[in-house]
Amino acid sequence: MFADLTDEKLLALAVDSEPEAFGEIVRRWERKIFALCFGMLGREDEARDAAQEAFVAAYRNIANFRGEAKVSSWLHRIAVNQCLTTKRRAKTRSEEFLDEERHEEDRVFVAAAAYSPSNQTEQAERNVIVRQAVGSLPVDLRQVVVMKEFEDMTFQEISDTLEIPLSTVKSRLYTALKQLRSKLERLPMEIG
Amino acid sequence: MRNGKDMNSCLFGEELVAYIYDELPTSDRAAFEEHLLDCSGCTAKFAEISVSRLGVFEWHRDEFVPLATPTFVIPYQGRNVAAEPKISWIDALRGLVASPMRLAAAGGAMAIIAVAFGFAFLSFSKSARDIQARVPVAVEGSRVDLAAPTVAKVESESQPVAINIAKTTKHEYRSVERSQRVHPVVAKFAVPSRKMSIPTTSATNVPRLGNYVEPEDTSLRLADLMADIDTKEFE
Repeated sequence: MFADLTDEKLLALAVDSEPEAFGEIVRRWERKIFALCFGMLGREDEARDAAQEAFVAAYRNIANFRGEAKVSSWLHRIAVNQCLTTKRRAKTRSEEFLDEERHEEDRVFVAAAAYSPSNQTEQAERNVIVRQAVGSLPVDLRQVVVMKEFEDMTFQEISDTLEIPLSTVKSRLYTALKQLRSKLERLPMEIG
Repeated sequence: MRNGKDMNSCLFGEELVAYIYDELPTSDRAAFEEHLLDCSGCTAKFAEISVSRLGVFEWHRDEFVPLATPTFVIPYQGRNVAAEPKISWIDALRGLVASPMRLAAAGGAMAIIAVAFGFAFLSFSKSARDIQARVPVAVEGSRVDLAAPTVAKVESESQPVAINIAKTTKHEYRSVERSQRVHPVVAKFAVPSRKMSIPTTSATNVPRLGNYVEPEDTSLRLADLMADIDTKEFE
């Protein structure tokens, strides 16, 4: 029913008379927004909750969308804000550190069944280090890395979504990868 | 180093990421690869960010790709109030009187409000009158009785001499005899004569604090009485 309409038309329709038109926008963007939240937060449960809250926040503030930016930019901005809020909330929880450690242990155990015994632990450790390194990047750099790797967006798409010049996207990604390298010193060089 | 050049002179950062993510235009690709073979600095930078990129790629592949996309539930009834169209105050007022029942209710409410305002106004004006009636005559500026001053007016000739002297020019001052000279500062405190004037009813004769003269106390004093008794005793 809504498949042929653009995001902007769907949003206008949702504001006017058809709230279900917003459901089509959710279906179009749910994987990417979930990927963005996962890349920003590094945990599946938090990413799922943040994406859910981001979509609900977008729907509740649907009337505030003025059409000056693209719907994708608007959704990304809401999702990034939601991720930052989730991070702040998690930081205030005193048991965060313990939970994270338990979570990582579970993940290693689950991953162990899927890969060969020789490199399973190594790979899991690498992932933990990469996740922590990405999580420690400044938000503007982390966002570009996640959009490129997790959402598989082109430089031009990232530029349009974040409303920044194309050269800024490239230089941010280059800076982010350079900073990541210095944070990943613990990774064995034979990676890949 | 690139053919003896400093590594920083390459400035290939943006091209490096574009090449790694396969977004470098085909025309630039060959030139970049040629440069990469020739420049050890750029090769080192390329290797450095390739390791980072691969780490993120593997993290994504191992932990995110296997995850199923969750189902997101949107509460369609909970939309922001701001989304509702705004109604102007005139339309809201019209809505109030749209039906006869509403019109009657609005009229009744207006009547109650009008009565309440009237009652409040009457109460206020009555209490204001009461307060005005209680104000003493003495504090009313318009009722000062000028016909009965309590302090006598000092006559004009009793003004300090220095005033006249101060008004004279420098030359005139010198021409005055030394014995007649009065220093302005001293003259300022010259005691006016105690000559009393008859109280008048003129508005210009309003008592002034500077002109107050203490009347002489002629009442009988205790010391005089005692002196009188002593004198009589030894007579």
